Amino acid sequence: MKVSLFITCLADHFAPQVGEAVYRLLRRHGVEVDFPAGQTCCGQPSWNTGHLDDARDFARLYIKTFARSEYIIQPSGSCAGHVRYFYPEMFPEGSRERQEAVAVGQRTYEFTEFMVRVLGVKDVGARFPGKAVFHNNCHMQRELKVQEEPLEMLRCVRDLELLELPRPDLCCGFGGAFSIKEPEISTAMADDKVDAIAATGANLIVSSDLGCLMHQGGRIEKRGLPIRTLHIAELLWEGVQQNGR
Amino acid sequence: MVAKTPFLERVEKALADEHLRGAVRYTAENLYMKRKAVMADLNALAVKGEAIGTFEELRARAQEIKLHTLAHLDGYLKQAAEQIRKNGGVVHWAKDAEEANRIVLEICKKRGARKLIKSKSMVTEEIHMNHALEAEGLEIVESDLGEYIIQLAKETPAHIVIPAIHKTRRQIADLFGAVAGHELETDTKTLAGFARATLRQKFMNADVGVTGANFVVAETGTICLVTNEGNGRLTTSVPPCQISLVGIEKLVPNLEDLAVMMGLLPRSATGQKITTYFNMITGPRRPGEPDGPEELHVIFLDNGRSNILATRYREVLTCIRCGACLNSCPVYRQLGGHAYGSIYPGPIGTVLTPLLQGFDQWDELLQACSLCGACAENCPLGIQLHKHIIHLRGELVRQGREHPLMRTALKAVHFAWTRPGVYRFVARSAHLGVKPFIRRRADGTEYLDNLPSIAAGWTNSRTMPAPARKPFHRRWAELQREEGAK
Amino acid sequence: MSAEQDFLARVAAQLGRSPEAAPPRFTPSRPLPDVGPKGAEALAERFQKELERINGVVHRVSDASQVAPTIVRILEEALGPARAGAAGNAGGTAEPNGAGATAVARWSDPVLDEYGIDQALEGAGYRVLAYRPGDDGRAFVEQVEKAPAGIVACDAAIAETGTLVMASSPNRGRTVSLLPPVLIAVLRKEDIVFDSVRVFRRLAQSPMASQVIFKSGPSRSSDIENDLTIGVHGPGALHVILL
Repeated sequence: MKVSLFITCLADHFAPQVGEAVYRLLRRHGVEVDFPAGQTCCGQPSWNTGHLDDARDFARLYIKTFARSEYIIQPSGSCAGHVRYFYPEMFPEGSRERQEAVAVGQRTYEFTEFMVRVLGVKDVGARFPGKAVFHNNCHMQRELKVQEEPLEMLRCVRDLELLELPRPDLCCGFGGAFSIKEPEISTAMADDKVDAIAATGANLIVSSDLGCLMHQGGRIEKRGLPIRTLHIAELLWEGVQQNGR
Repeated sequence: MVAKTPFLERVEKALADEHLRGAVRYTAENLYMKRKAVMADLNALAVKGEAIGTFEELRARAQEIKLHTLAHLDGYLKQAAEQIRKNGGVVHWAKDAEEANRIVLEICKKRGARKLIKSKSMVTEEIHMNHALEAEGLEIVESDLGEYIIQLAKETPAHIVIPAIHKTRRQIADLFGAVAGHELETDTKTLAGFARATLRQKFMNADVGVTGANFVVAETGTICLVTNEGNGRLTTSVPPCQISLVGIEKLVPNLEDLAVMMGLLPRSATGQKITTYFNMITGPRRPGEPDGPEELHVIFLDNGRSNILATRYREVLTCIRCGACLNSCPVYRQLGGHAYGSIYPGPIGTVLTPLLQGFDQWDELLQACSLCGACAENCPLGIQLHKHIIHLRGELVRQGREHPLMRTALKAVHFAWTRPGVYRFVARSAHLGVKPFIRRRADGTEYLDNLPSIAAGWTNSRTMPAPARKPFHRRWAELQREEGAK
Repeated sequence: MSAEQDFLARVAAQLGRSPEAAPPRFTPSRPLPDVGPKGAEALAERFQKELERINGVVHRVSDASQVAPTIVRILEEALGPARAGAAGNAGGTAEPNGAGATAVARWSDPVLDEYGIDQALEGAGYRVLAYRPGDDGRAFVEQVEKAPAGIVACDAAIAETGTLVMASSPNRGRTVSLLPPVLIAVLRKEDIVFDSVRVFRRLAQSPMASQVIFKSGPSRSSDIENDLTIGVHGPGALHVILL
C-alpha cells in the first residue's frame, strides 16, 4: 500500500518531528510513503478569514499536487476536515473543480483515521507513562466525525492513563486567525480548557492538531503549569521507542 | 496597535466581569446539558414509536416547512392577513422600525391608551419600541419576569431566553425594593411573589397588551405564543386591546406544522418537552365572550428581512429564536449577550444583525467566532451559521473592511504559499527571520515571545514554538536516506 | 390595501417574481407518523405520569358523581374551609359586595353542569362565580382576579406532555383558568390523545376559537438566578380530575 504524506504548514514549520513520527509509524506497518514536493498549505487561514478566492487557489494547488495519490495522510484533523468538507463548497455545483475537490477529499485522511479505519491498526506497541487528556479538534469532531479512533489508539498505549473532560466538545479557542484577531476571547477560552484539563490531574494534552496544541501549550507555558502538550503521532512514536524496537 | 472600538470595549468589560462570566457559563452549561438530555430522550422515544421523530427527523421536517414558507412568503402573508381580518382582527404592514412604532403610537392615540404591558418579544426590542413609546409619555411594562428585572435595571438582555442571568438575587431584591418602597427578602419565593403581585396590577390596569409571536399560522391567521410564566396569556386576556408585532419570517402554513415546530422549540431552548403555556390566538374576543381583547392589531414587520430572502443567507430567516446556538457557543460562553451590543447575541446575532442592519456598526461581530461549528450542530433548523460567517467575512474582505495588517499578512501568505518554491524558501528562512524573538528554556529548547505588531496578540498571553531550523520538507530526504541505510 | 400590496410586492420581488394570489397548499413530503400507546387507559396513565413530572396533581375518579366531592376536597385542602357565606348567590356576579364566602370561579359551560358542582360548592359554603351572557365582562374579570380558585373543563389532553387543551367561548372565561392561583380542571379519559398532531388536525377541521390554550403544569420561571419558581403569573397549583 502506498500513501502520500501532507505534512501541513504548521508541522512543516514548527514540528517536523510530527512528520517524522507519522512516517516511521506508517513504515513500521509496511506502508510505502511518498512526499509530493509541491505541497504547501491547505489554505484554511484564507478561507476562514474571508479571502475566499485565495482559498480556492490553495485548493487547486492541493488537488494538483496530490492528483496521483491514492491516500493522502495528514497529521491534522483540522486540515483534513477543511479539505474534505470545505473544498467542495468552494466550487460551483456540477463543475469539474467540485468533482475534483470531492474526489481528493475522499482520498484525504487524518492520521489516526487512516491507521484505524483503513489499516485496522489500534495498537502500535507503544509504552508512554502519563496521565493524558485527548483534545479533539472542532473540525475533527464535527466535520470528519473522527472521535473514537484516536482514543482507541491511546487506550492501547501501555502505562498511559486516559482521562476525560466534562465538556470535551468545547472549542479551545485557537480557531486559526481568531487566536490573533480576538486574542482576549481566545485566551479566555484557552484558560477554560486548560483549567478543565488541569482539574482532571492530567500532565499531558494529546491532540491530532498542532494549532490547538500550540495555543494551549503556549498558554500553559505563560502560566507555568506542569502540563506537556504532544501530538498523538509523536506520543505514539516516542512510545514505540520507549517500548524497545 | 488596534484602536479600541465600542465592540472591543464591551468585550473587555465582559471578560473582566467575573460575576457575569460565572452566570453566563452556568446558564449556558445548564441549558446545553438539558437540551442534550431531552434530545437523547426524544431520540429514544422515537425509536420506540412514541415520538413523531428523532431530532434529526424533526429538524428535516422543520427545514422543509420553513423553507417552503419563505419561498412563498408573500402568498402566506396574504393568506394570514385575510384570515386575521376574517376573525375580526386588524392587519398593519410596517416596512421598518420607524413605521412600526408609528403604527403602535397611532393605535394607542386612537384609543386614548396610556398604559401598556408587554409579554416577552424580541422584535419589539429590535425596533426600540419601549423607547419610542416612553418618548411620547406612555408607560410600558415588561411582564416576563426576566425582562421586568432588566427593565427596572435599565439594561439590555444578557440571553435570549433568560434575560437577567447576570443579576444576583440581591440585585433583584434591591430593584424590586425600590418599587415596593421597602426592603425585600432575597429568597426566590418572595421575589417572584412580589413580581407576580405587582405585575398582576399592571395587567389589570393596562389599556393595551403588546406581544410578539413565536409562530403565525397562515391557514387560520393564528398567533402563537410560547411561555412558561403565563404572561403571554395574561397580556392577551385582560387588556381591552392587543397589539402583536410579527417579523414576517414567523409564518408557518398549517396548524399541523406546529406539532413539528413545538417539538423542537421548547426542547432546544430550555430542555423542556413543552412549555407551560402555548397560546393560539385567532382574532379578538368573539361576541358574548367575557374576556379577551376587544381589538386585535397585528403588525407585520419587514425591517430588513425581505432583503435576506434574495441572498444565500435565506435560511437564517428560519431561526425560531430558541437560543440553542448561544448555549453551545464557546465565545458566547465567555462574553454573555451584552458584549454583542445587539438584541440578537451569540451565533445567530453575529449573522442576523449585520444582515438586517448592515456592516457599519456590526462588522466586528463577525470576527468573534472561532468557527467551531457547535451552533450549526445544535440548531433545530440546522442553520449553518459557521458557514454564513465565513461568507459574510468574504463580503467584508470584498468591501475592504479588514484590519490592514491582517490583510497584508494574509495576502503575503497567499502570495508565498501558492508558490511552492517561495514557500520552501520562506520556511527555511523562518528560524533566521524570527531570531530577535527567540528565547531559550532551561533545557535548551527554543520558543518565541514578545512578537511585534498583530502577532503580539498571541504572545501577550501565550508563548509560541520557535520555527524549526530545518522544516520537515528538508528532513524528508534525510529520512529516506536513514531508511535506506538500515 | 395599497400598503399591503406594496409590502407583499417587495417580498415577492426579493423572491424574484411577482406576488402570488394565494400560497400553494403545503403537505410535508413524508406524512407525520401515528405514534404512541393506544387505548384510553394507557393514555390516561401516560398523561398522569407526565403531568405529575411537571408538578401537576392528578385525581382519578371512576364516575361523574365523584367529580364534585373531589373538587370540594381539593379546595378545602388548598384553601382551608370556606368562610360562612350567604346562601343564594350561586352563579351570580351582580353582587360585588356579596357574602364573605370564598368565591370560586368556574366556566358556565354546560359541560360542567352535569357534575353538580354548584350544589356541592355551595353546600360546602363556597360562593360560585360564573359568567352569564350579558353580564359585565370587566366586572367578572375583576371578581375572578380575587377568586382563589378556578374550575374548568378540558376539550382534550395530550398524554405525551401532560397537556390540557382548552378553547375559549362565551361560556368560558379565559381568566378563570389564568388569574386564580389554584386551577382545577375536569378531564374525561376519552378526550386524551397521545400527541399534539391529533389536536392540531382536529382544530383545523373547524373555525378556530378566539383563544386555544395548551397548559402543561403550573406556571413557572427560572429567571431569578436560574432558580425554579412555581406560580409566576398563572396558577401555581394545577389539579386535574381525571374521569
